[in-house]
Amino acid sequence: MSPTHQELADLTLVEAASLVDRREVSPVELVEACLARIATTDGRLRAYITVFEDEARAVARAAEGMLAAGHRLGPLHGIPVSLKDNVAVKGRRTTAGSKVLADWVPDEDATVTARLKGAGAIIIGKTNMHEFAWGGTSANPHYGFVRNPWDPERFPAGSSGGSGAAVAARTCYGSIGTDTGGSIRLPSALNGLVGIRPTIGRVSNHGIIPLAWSMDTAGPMTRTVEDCAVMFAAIAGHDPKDQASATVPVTDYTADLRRGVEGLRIGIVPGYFFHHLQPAVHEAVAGALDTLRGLGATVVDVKIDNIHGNISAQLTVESCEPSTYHQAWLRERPEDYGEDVRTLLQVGELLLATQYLQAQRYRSLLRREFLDAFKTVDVFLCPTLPFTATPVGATTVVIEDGVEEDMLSAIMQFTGVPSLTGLPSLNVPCGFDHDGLPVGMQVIGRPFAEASLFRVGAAFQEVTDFHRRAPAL
Amino acid sequence: MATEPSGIDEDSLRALVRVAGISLREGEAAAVAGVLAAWIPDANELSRKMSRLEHRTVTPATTFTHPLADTGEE
Repeated sequence: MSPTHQELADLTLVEAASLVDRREVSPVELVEACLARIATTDGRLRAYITVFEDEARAVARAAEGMLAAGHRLGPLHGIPVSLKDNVAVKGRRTTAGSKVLADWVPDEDATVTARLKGAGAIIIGKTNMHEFAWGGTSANPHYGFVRNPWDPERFPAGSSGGSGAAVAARTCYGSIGTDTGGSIRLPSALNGLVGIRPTIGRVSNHGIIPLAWSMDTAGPMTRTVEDCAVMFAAIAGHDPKDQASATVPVTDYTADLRRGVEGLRIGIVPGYFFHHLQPAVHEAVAGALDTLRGLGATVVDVKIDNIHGNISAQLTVESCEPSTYHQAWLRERPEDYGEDVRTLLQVGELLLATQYLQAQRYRSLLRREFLDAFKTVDVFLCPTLPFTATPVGATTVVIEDGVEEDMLSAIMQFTGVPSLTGLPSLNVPCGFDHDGLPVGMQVIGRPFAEASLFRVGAAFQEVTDFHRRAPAL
Repeated sequence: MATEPSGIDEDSLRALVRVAGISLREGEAAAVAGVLAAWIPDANELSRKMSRLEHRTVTPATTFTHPLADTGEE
């Protein structure tokens, strides 16, 4: 008996790829299962801006034909995935979630898009996002507010909120997000997903609408660490079209998935990493640390003298650089921006060059401290964000003592550190709060040591089941 | 972290806006001033920190190179 759409949609990326490879499931069946899920969920979630129904079906038939002829393009052959709508797809509109680019049709694939296609992936659609990626709520005034599949009255975080909702809702097997200040890790955490912000320069930004050039990255969001490693391997590597692309050779990102964490040294920054959290987040991440300790890892306190100040540096860099990119549009068509993004772009115009450069100097200082610390630890571990999903449309959040805080500053409490230092970091689901909303932990590694992050995440998922739970939609 | 008032009011904002060459529509000034008032004290605090003698040799991180990624050394 053929599997149902629901059964197919519930497969992980690696399970689906294995079944396709063995010709037990057809790419056509996978695409139909995903399109059926989109049809039943997306009216409410608003995870997609564009769905490529006809094209995805045509590519799936071609993929099936290639397999029948003995050709497998790569590890993602026949697997439906989605792309955040700031990633260019040749001949298809790429809006960056904006009205400004509502009709822009690129004449070239982004490098990430080309590599996914080369690995055999089927692009099923483009996901909704915070406008121009400048914000963390995905409350998009032009394409709808994205909602969290775990509770559609809650937000999915952002800016890659559509990608987070799309994967959590089982409408695709993985999605490419972009991350400047946390935009992959934040929605991964609040949607119960795995998501990696790569070392800066590891994945090409060519063909991706920028937010802040000196911090922008792209990476996969999936349901398991193994899925993430497989998808990451397909997109990582040097790209001569991106002048900031690193030439460091790629490694086998799946090699350490079964290695465990015996002897691994995990760093904690006392007074910061477990400070100012909602109680459920503290409990979940502390529990995850205990789990890893039980698997043989050791936990080490590491002092980072200059960690305070990182949120200010993050806000300064992340506001000045977008305001530079948007300078002409902000003057010519300010009314085409949503109110929150227009305000942030105006603010970025008014900060001083000295404030921006002092923030960039601070980044060097913070990075030096973390690189020194990596002489005594292998990874750092902390919450990904200090709270769980807030109601849709909220601009403030209560973390402790009933005090309302600005969402943008609060959401970057932990994700700003890797963004500023250029270090890779991985969100891994590690629990749920009392309302059944996901909690994520962030693992931070040495430059280009993405495999070590996958190692930690895979060891954790081997003995936990948070990643196997699905939202009831 | 903030230790000082921002000093941003609508008059000072008008001066900044003139220098930047942008225009604010009705009602936008209050929103922009609010964000600046929240951010500038921390930005100035960071500037003071980075101006200390012990940080004089630190250069801006506009690009990264990763020559010795294995050891975490540069």
